[in-house]
Amino acid sequence: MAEEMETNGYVGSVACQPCHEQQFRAFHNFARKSHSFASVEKMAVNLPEEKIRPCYGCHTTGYGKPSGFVSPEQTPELKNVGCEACHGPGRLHVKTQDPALIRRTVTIEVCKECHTEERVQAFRYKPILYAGSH
Amino acid sequence: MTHNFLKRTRMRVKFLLATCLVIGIFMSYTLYQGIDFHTKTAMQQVEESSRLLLDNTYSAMRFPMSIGDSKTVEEQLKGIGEHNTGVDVYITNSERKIIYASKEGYRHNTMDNYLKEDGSREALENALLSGTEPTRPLVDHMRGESSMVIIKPILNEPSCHHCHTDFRPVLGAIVAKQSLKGLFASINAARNRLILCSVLTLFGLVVFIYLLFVRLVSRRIGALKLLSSKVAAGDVTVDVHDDHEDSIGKLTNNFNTMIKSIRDRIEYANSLKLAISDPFFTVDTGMRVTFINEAAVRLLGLPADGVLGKLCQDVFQSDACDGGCPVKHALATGKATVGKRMTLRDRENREIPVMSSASVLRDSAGNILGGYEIIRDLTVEVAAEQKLQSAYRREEEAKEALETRVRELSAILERAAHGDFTTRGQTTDANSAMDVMTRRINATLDGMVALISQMKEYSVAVSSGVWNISRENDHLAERTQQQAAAMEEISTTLAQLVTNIRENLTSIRQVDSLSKDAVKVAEDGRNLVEKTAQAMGVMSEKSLKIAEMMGLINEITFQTNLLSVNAAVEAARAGEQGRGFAVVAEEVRNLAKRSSSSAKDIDALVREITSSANTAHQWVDKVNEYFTKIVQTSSQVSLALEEIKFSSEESAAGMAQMNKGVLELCDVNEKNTGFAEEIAVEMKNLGDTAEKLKGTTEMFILDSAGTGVAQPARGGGRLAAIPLDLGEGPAPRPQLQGLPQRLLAGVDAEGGEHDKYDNGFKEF
Repeated sequence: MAEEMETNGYVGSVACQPCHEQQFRAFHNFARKSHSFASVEKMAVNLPEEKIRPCYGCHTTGYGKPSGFVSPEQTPELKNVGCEACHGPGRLHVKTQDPALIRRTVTIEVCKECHTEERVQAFRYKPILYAGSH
Repeated sequence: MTHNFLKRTRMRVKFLLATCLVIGIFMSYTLYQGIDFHTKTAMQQVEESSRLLLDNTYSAMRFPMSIGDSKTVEEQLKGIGEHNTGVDVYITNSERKIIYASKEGYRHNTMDNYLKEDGSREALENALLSGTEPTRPLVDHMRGESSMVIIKPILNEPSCHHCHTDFRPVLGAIVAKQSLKGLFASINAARNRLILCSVLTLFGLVVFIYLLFVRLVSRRIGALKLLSSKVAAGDVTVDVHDDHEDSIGKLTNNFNTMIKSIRDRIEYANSLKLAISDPFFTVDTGMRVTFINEAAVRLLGLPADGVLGKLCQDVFQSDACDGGCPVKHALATGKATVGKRMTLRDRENREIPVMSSASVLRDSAGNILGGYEIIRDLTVEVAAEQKLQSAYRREEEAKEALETRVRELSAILERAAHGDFTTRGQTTDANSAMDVMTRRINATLDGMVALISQMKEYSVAVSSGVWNISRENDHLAERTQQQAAAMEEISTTLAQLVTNIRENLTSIRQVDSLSKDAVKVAEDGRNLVEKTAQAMGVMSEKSLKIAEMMGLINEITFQTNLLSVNAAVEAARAGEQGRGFAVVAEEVRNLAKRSSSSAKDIDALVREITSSANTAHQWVDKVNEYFTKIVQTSSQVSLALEEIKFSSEESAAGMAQMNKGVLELCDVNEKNTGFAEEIAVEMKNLGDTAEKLKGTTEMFILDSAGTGVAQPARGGGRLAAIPLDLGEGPAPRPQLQGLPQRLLAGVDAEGGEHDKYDNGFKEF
C-alpha cells in the first residue's frame, strides 16, 4: 500500500489514450475541460502570478497535489483539466492497468469540488456525469 | 478719414451703409448662432445615438461575457457592424488591445490604429485608468474622415472576478466610433441654404428699409433742406406743411412756426421802423443810405426815390458831416449817441436846427451791420425857447421890483420891531397885491400905535391901583396878625380849661370810686347788723330757756332743802352719832339756800338780759334801717357822680373841639397871613410889571403928538391910520403877554418906581 502511495501519481491524459482511445478523443475533442488552461492563458495577460495561481485548482489537473500540476513549463501534460482530475491519479493504473487502481466510477461529489453551486449559477457549467463527452 | 467720408456722404447713403452694417452684423451673428446651434444639435443627436448604441451593446454583451460566452459576444458585435452602417464598435482590454469588434479585421489590433487624435487616445487612456467616461464627445479624424468617438469603460464587477480576478478596477473599454461624414454633409448643406436665405433676406430687408427711409425721412428732410436753403438765402416767405405726427412732421411744423416767427419779427421790426414818426434813416457801414422814412424825406424836401444807396453826407449836408457825426461815432465806438444838436440843409439850402440820436444795427452775433439815426426837427422848439427867454427876462425885472418893495416893507417892519412906528409903506396906483399888502401893514402899524398909546395911559392907572391894593393889603396883614395873637390866647385858655376839666373828671372818678366803696361798706355793715339782730334773737331765746331752767333749779334747791331738813331731823334722832350727819345736813341746807339765792340772782339777771336783748334787737333793727338808707343814699350819690362824670367828659370833649376849632382858626389865620404875603409879593411883581409896561410904552416912538398917526416911509402922501377894532364898553386892560419878550426884557434895566414898592414889601 505504501509502495502504491509512493508510486501513484499524475501522468496526464495522453497516457490514457492508448487504452482508452475512443474516450480520449471524445474528451479531447468535445469536452471543454480539455482546453481549460486556454482560458487561464487568455486571462493571464499582465496578471501577477499570485492572481493566476488560484485558477490552477480547477483549470489544471492535480494542482497542489503530489505530482500534480506545478507550472505549464514543468508539467505541460497537466495544464488542462484531464482524465485524472475526476478519475484520480493514474500512474499505477497505467502501469499495472489494474482497474482497481483507478477511480472507475466518479460521483457527483468529485465534480462539485469545482462545479460549485455558485459557479453553476454564474456560468451554467453544470456537472455532466453521463453526457457523451467521453 | 472716416469722419470726412461721413461728412461728405449723403444721408441716404450713410443710412444705407449703416443699415447694411447693422443688419449684416445681426444676421451674421444669427447665422453663426444658427449654424452653431444646428451643428451642436446634430452632434448631440449623434452623440446620443452613439451612446445609446454603446449602452445597448454593453447591455447585450454583459451577460455572455459574464459567463465567458465569447462567441455570443462576437456574434452580437458582428450583427451590430452589419446593421449599423458607419458605426464601428470596439471592445478593448486594459492594454487597448481590441478583443472584440464589430468587424472581424479589427480584432487583435491595438486601438491606437483607429484613434488618430491625441485627445481621443488620452480619453481612452484616462477611461482605462480611472474608469470614468469622457465628459464631452470626441471627434477623431482619420484619413480625411471625421468620426465621433464614444468611450465607455468596463468596470471590474464581482461577476467578472472569476475570469479577470479582482486585480484591475477597469477591465477594458467599449468604444463606439460613428462616422460624421453624412452628418457634416447635411450640416454643410443646411448652412449653405441658411447663408443663401440670409443674404437674400438681408438684401430684401436693406432694400425695404432704404425705400422706407427714402419715403419717410430722406425725401421730407430734402424738402425741408430746400426750404431752409431759401430761408438762408433770405426768402422767409416759404411755407411748408407736413401732417405727419412723427418727429420729422413736428420738426417741419416747428420749422414752419420758426419761419413764421421770423416773419413776425421782421414785420415787427419793419413796423417799428415805419412807426417812427420822426425823421429816420439807416446806413450801412459804408455810410450809404439803406432806408429813409417819409418824415426825413419831407423834412429835407428830397425826391421820393433816388436817395437809397447814396452817401449820407450828400443827402443831409449837415454841419456835422465833417466832424461830430453821431452815426459815424456810433459805428466807430459801437455806442449810442443821444441828443446831438446839429444843423441840416434842405434842398433850398435852408438851415434846419435838429437834434439827432444814433446807434448801430447788429446781427445776432453782435457784428455791426450799419447804423441808424433819428432826427428831431427843433425849429418850433427853438422859437419857443426864444419866447421863453424873453418871458424870463420880464419875469426877472418884475421880480427885482417886487424884491425892492419887499425890502422897503421889511425895513419898515424892522424899525417897528425896534419901536419906531413913525414910517409907513408907499403904495402905487396899480393897486397890485403888494399895494394891498402895504396898506394892510400900514393899518397894522397904526393899530399898534393906538394900542400902545392906550397902554401907556392904562399902565399909569394900574400902577396907582396896585400901590393902593398893596397898602390895604399891608393893613390886612397887620389885622390878621392881631387876630392870630388873640386866637392864640383863646386857644391857650381853652387848653387850660380842658386840662382843669380833665382834672375834675379824675377827681370825680375817684369820688365815684370812694362812693362805691362806701356803698359796699354800708352793705357789709347792714349785713353785720342783720347778723347781730339774729344773734340777739337767739340770745333772747336762750335767755328764756335759761329762765325755764332756773325754775327747775329752784325746784331742785327746794327739794334739797327738804332733804337737808329731813336729814337734820334724822341726825337729831340719831343723837350723838348723828351729829356729824347733822353737820352735813346743815351744810347741805346752806348750800340749798345759797343755790336758791343764786338761782334767783340768775333768774333776775336772765330776765335783765332778755330785756336788754330785746332792747338791743330794736336798736339793731333801727341801725339796719339806717344802713339801708345809707346804701340807698350812697347809690344815689354814685349815680349823681356818674352823671357829673359824663357831663365833665362831654364838656372836656366840647372844649377839645373848641380848641381844635380855635387851632383851625389859627391855621386859617396863618394861611391868610401867608396869602396876604403872597398878595403883597404878587402886587409887587404887578407893580414892577406895570412899571415895566409903562417904561415899555414910553420907549415906543409914536409921533410928536402921540396920536397914533405915523409918517410915511418916504415922503409922499400921508396914509390914514386904520384903528384897531377894540370893542365897546370900558377901556380894555392892557395885555402884557402879547408883547414881544425882547421888549419886556429891555425894561428891566430901567428900574422905574421899583424902590417905592420895595420898601412896602420889606415890611412883610
